[in-house]
Amino acid sequence: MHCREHVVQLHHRIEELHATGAEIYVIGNGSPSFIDGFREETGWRGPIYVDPSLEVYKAAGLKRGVLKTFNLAAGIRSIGTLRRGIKQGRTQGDPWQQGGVLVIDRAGEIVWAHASGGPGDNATADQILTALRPAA
Amino acid sequence: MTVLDEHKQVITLGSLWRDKPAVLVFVRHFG
Repeated sequence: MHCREHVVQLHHRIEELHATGAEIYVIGNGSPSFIDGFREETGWRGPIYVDPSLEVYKAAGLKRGVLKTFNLAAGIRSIGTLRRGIKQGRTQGDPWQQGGVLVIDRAGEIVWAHASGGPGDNATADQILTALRPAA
Repeated sequence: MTVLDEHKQVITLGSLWRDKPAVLVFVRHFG
């Protein structure tokens, strides 16, 4: 549910994000067959890819583990998300893998990164916009 | 290093930022 909420939040700011000259790519870790359903649920019209091997997730330095998924902070964030009317759907992908955001410039340099510490610990659109301005 | 699109087509990761800055949003899962 946090994943969908994060993508919906970015979808609402997509014009501002594109105005920096950047493209936004959503990357999941399930099967390619999950992409259409996720697109329908979030309204995301941009590119969506998958990394079923988690090779890219590992290279990006993103966290993975049961304790990263189930902890007090994540539980509190989940309550807030549920109150906003977003419910947990069926998990499609590795349930222990955490997400994150990388901002990469045209030279291939990572200019900003956020490795999620658990469910709901997502980079905000404002953080991404701030990171993009020097990269554009 | 590669990713797959909805048609199982292989995409080279480096191609994503060849022409413009890229934001890679890694989701935990699709649930």
